[in-house]
Amino acid sequence: MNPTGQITEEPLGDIEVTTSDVERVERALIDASTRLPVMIFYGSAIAWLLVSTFFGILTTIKLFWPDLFSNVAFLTWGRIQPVHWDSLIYGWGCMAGMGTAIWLMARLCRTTLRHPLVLIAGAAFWNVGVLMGLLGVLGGANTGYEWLEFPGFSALTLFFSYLLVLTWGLVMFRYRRRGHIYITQWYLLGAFLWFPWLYASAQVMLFILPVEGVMKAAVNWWFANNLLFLWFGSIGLGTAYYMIPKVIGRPVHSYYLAAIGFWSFALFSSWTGMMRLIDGPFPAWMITASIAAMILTIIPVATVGLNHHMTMRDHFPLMRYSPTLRFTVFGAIAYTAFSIVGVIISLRSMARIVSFSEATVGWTYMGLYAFFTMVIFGSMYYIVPRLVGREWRYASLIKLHFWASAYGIGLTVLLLLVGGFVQGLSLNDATLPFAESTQSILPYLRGRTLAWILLTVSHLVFAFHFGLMLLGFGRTASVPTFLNPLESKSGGAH
Amino acid sequence: MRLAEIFAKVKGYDEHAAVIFDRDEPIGRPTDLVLPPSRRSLFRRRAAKDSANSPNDAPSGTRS
Repeated sequence: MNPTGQITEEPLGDIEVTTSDVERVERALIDASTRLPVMIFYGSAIAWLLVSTFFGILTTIKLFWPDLFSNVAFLTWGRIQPVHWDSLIYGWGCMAGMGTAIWLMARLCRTTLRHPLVLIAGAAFWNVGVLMGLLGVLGGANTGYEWLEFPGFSALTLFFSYLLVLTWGLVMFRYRRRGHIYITQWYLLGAFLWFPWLYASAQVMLFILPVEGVMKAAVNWWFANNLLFLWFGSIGLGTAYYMIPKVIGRPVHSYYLAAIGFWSFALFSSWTGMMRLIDGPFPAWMITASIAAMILTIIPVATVGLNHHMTMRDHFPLMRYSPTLRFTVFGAIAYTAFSIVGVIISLRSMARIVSFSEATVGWTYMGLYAFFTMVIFGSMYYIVPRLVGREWRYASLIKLHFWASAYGIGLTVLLLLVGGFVQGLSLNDATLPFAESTQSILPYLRGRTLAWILLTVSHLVFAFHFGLMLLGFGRTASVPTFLNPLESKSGGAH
Repeated sequence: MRLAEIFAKVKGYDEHAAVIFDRDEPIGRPTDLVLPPSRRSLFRRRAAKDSANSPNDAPSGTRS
């Protein structure tokens, strides 16, 4: 190994070493170097996912049973709703995304991770930041801005802990093995640089040197939408571009198309924030530019969707066996659906109906959960066995996790989109009293609680299974755990 | 630049898609599943095309 952490091929005396052996050892060294930090990121992410699930189900119940815990200040809806979203975004999403990004970056740069303690410190401070932020919101110190509810001291901790992670991401990229930069690295590098830009800009413009009046809302939604697209979207797409080809052993169908998809994604996604403020008190050009950008995101969606579909062509039946493939392909399909629904609800005629309804919440779940979270689950099924050296213990638990997640998020999104549309129609009907609009969505909200029970089951199962892997109770086998048994004895070892 | 040259350049660019594969995890060999025989035909067609890159025509699961 040279001083930069790169592994070099050197003659070993009389021992005959093939290139294949060197590559295997290289991968093992990279995995060993990333083991501790990535597992800490993953372990923390799953803990926050459970916290978010608890507050998520409480949030759904309180929408049709508002008196529940109404005499307990920190369990009122105005506090638990942001706690649910913030723990999902900053606790689960960011930590799991960073864990996957670190591993992918190390693998693709072909560099071992030097001084992982810095990354571990980054993870620890991030956890402290999220914990302080959630406690602050529960205690009533909510800033009032969507997805930026954390009080200042927490935001500062998050930002500086992120800088530690960013530094290591850039160091790995700087000392990468020479060769082509794969499309996944483009997305990850983009995400690494976009997040501090988004977070710092929003913090400065809202709290340090605050802009005036309604521009605060513009900055808020610029941040929230870009966090969804440029941060979570980039990590999710980058991960899918690695996992799908790697699992099925087939290169991306059109690499040229992948490049077009990346640049069009970067260009158009960052303009979409104002679509949340249609008919608001803003210059018309701001809103129109965002709607136009949202429509133009069809270009990256079409290129990415087509590329993934053509790569998977003839290989879809393999989703029956590979957990990674099943979760990742589900997420990739959800990305297409998320973008198409985004275009539809950004059109003025539709936005007038749904913009103040639960439909926008459903759309956000589509991006953050159906797409991003499912892709990340897939990546964890791929990465964790390579880090702990054991295979997932039970195929049945993986299947339960998948189906509970898929049905849970599918139902949640469907109920919120349809219910939101019905709610919006009632809101726009001047002959109906306002209370009618809240009554009209109640059945959908009750259904959503059932969907969240499914998601709760899925998260508990996944946390338990991950815990088994962490404690060394995974299977000791040389082949992965399949979702379904192979159909023939000669199909390989199980 | 002639059209043929542009197409050649685009086609050459597509070769970068193979950088995530190497001799230990070559094209044609899935890295996260062992294929049942009934599914192997799916890969044979591809493996034939990529025979130059893939020394193993019968895919098997690897975990490295």
